[in-house]
Amino acid sequence: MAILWIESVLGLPSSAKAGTTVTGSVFVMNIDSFSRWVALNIITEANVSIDPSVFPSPLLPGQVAMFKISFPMSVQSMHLSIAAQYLEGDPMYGGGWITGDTREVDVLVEEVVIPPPPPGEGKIGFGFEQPVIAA
Amino acid sequence: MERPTVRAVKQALARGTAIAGAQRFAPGTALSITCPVVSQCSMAQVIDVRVKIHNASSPFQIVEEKWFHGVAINPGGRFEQSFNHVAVADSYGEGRNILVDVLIAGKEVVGHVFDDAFFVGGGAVSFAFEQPTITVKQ
Repeated sequence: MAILWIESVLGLPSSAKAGTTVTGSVFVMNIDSFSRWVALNIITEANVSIDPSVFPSPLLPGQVAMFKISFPMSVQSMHLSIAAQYLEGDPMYGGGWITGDTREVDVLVEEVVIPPPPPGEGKIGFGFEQPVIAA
Repeated sequence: MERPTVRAVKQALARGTAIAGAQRFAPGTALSITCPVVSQCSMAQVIDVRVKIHNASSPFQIVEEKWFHGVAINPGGRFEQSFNHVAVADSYGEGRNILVDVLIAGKEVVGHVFDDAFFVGGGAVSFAFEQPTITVKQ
């Protein structure tokens, strides 16, 4: 039986320039009939900040939690595996976070077009004086 | 003859700089030709200079091509290396154009054409036309 549902991921661009900070929101609904502690976990190469990482109160049945995420865009495209997790049992006695739903998201790095440097550097120009021809 | 490049066609169609008082030389005359190039660049450059002499009536008929490779030139600097050329008559005409190109890293960056820079031939068949005189007949 499903317990969590990632309702939507909003605000994440499909592409971003390298070096910029990407932000978005993940909405997770508790579709269980019981209240659940809910957390978000993101597996990616990026250093993702999640606020909050654990929703501050148990999610009531049908209630939606919002998690804000942000990460610096790398020079490579980013693949995010977003996992909504719920707490099963008591962590003190062997319980733990169990993934209830996942969502895969890609953020492509925008191609950085670097204009080719001119031959040499700076201004290029030459003047031509009248040829001198002598027998 | 090889098919001319688009650039060569453009240069042939473009009006070059006419040289005032261009000299006429007999076929076989050994000439010394200098084509000064002045740098207007903001930084020092290493350039190749290519000088082409072609018949003014047949721009794609190259009479001689001379290269000067790896010329280091400072901003405001001047390159003027003379080279030898023997005046050769041909059936296309007497005028000779001089085309000077500057290349950087193998790419042409700028060039200039001097039309009728000199003439080759005796000039035996040559006529001048003066302004007509028109008077009223009495």
